[in-house]
Amino acid sequence: MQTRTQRLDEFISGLPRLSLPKALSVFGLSWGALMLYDIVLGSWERSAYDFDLLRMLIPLVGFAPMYVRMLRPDDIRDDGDAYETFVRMTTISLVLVVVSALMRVVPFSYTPLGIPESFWSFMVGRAISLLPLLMLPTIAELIVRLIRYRSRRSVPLLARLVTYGIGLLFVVAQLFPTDLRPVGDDPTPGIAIGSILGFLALILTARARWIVNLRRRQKWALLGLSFLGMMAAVYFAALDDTSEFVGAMAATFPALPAMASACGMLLINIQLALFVHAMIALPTANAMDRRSTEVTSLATFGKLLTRSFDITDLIETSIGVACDVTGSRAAWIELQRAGDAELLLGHSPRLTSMDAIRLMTSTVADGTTLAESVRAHRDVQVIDRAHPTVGANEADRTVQRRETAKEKAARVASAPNRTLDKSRSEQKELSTVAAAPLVVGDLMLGTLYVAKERAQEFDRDDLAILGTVADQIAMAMQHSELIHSSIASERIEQEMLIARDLQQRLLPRSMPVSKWYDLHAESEPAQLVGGDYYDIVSFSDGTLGVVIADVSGKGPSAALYMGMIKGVIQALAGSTATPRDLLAKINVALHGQIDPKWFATMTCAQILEERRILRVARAGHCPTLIIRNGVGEYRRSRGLGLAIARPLMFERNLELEELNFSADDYVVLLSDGIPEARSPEGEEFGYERLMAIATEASALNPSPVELRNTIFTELSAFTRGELPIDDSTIVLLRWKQCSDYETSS
Amino acid sequence: MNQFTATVRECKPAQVVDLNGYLDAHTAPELEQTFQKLLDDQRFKIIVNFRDLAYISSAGLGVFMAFIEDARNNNGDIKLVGMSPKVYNVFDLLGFPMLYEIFDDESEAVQKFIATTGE
Repeated sequence: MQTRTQRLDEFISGLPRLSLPKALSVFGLSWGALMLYDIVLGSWERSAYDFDLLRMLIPLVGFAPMYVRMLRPDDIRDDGDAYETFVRMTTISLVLVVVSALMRVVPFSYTPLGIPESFWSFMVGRAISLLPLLMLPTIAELIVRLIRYRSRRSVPLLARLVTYGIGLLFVVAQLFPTDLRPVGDDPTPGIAIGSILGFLALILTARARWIVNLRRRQKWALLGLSFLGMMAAVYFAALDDTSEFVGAMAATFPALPAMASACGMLLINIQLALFVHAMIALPTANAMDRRSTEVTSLATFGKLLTRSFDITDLIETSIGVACDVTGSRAAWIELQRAGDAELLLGHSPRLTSMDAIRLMTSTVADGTTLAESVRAHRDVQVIDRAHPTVGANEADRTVQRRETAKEKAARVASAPNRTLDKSRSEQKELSTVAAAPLVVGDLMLGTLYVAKERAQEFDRDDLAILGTVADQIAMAMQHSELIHSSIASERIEQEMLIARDLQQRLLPRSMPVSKWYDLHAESEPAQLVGGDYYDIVSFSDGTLGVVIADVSGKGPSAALYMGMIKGVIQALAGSTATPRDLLAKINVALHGQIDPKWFATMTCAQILEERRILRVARAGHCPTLIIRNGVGEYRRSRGLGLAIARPLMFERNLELEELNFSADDYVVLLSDGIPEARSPEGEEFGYERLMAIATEASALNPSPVELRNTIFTELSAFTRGELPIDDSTIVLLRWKQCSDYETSS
Repeated sequence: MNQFTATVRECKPAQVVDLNGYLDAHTAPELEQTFQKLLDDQRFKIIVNFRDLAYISSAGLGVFMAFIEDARNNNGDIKLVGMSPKVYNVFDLLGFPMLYEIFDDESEAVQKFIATTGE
């Protein structure tokens, strides 16, 4: 069951709504049609109040679109929009007043009854009244919009009444001009209705919540404009119905003067209400602005904190925000990093570094400098009248100013202006300074400073909010560093994982099987290092060899070099006869190819299985452990590391060793990760200990895997869980008994 | 984080770099900077004193290799003195004694410089 209002609303929303230009055009067209009608029918000489029905209806029809717009006005979006609407409304009314005042200059005359005294007057009169014709409904629409904005729920009814009232007035004034025309000093009906409407408008505008949230500038503008608006409104309301202007308007559309009066009355009330509101709002305007800026700044700042991890951006915004929220002219940050102090003035420094240092070294009540005081108390400190201390020069030295290229450019760019502003800057010297520590937990990252001119001061709110901003900055800086280091360490970890994976892929999938020996090899990369490598090669005569290598470098680069080495080894081995030749060729391939700091160590052992001989060449690698007849020793043939020396030098110093073995002898190739493994106390496992353990274990004739297990068990017991710092690689060979196939030759 | 310092002093005709602490991948750049500065200042006769060096890794060894060519190309050299047996072993494994002149005493290295340049 719909209420009457709802049905009315539905009806109204069903009405077609034209855009403002279109609606005004329709109204204007009706004006034009009327003029034509008058000229053609010659009725232009008749009185404004003597017309026929058709002539009265045409303007009503023309007015309809504008009226519909008033019934279904655009809703004002926000307070800023309300202010704009007000300005527009007032400006149009002022323009109308000015124009109509100017019109007095134009010579034309109408009799009091609205009869033009000449064709010329008729034309001029009609032309003149086009302006109020278009502007008054526009003003009316803006009025309706404004009084609807932010009003209480019950108020739409009042707004409706105002709108209907205006429409009603127009219709009545149009249809019954004679009954509504002014008689003597009696107030016109326009004024009467307008007063009622005006009173309603006053009630509606009484709230005007939107004024409070305007900027201070806007409040002042509103004060001035509403005053002028009131004057303009009075002019409308008090239109002298004996003037030519009114006569001309009436002659066009009899309802026009009535509408002008009504609008005038409405406007008087509205402008008065707004004027009073602006007056009330002005004293607190400053504070409101400050609060508004603070909130906006903090909100923007907060957003930036979550989005940007760039320290430079952060500093830049922090300085801006600090100035905004405390109403300071300049702000800067002093960062403390590992004993070094860095002064950050931002890209467009608002003060010179000399000034900053002067303020930072000014003394507080207990005789210490501001900077020291903040550091000591870990709290916001303020100086109302700063002056430099005696020891200012020393303080300068402790605070190093590191000027970035950008800052330098900014300084140079602003230098020409410096001389011009010098006298002014002396007057407006910064001497009120406050400082807040940038603290996260126990850690003090630095200090935030803000400075005002001599005449200004910091109130309690300023200092409170300075502290808040400083806390946020500190947190953001910490956050940024954490993010960066976590990104960095994550990247490193990723790279290490890739390197480890690559390294594993380079190792041989399986060990050769022989009746003469057993072979076992493994490599365990340490956490951060990926440089060890072992391989099985095939020499030109078909004999197999074992290669063990240690590549300098860490992570992906080491893995890369390993890959390169493996490629070189595998490519060259097949056309090489001995380990010495192979190492020489590898050195040729590597020397001078990578950076001068890089090198690798390698041992290559060729297995002449039937003769139980091992041919060994050692390029800088750690010595090979051999156990013959239960006696252990290290073999360390002469040889330089790979890629250290030029080929000639390398080969000249490379020895090829030939070692003879019997069954049950052992050969252990290793990388230095095992002997250099440390206990929690920092003691090294050592080559001697390794040899002792291996030699002792060999007595039981273990398989290579068993020997490996023994060694590693001892190693684990020694390191007691201490993480290895280097890769552990081991290749174990045991010469076997070969009873069935013992050669006879 | 291990400590490392490299301090330079004059001992005509050479510059002596005294090493102290742990020379590994983290601290190697410090030594690099020292060498670079010496070369930039046209000081090509360099003696490195290992007396107070506790430990050296392969990264540390690499530093010497990077600068030896430049020094020798300019009638200079990098001579190594005062190594502990442990540190010497690291160099010896790689065959450094065949490439570099290693002495027990600093004065020997100085003498060698004087002798070769006749200064």
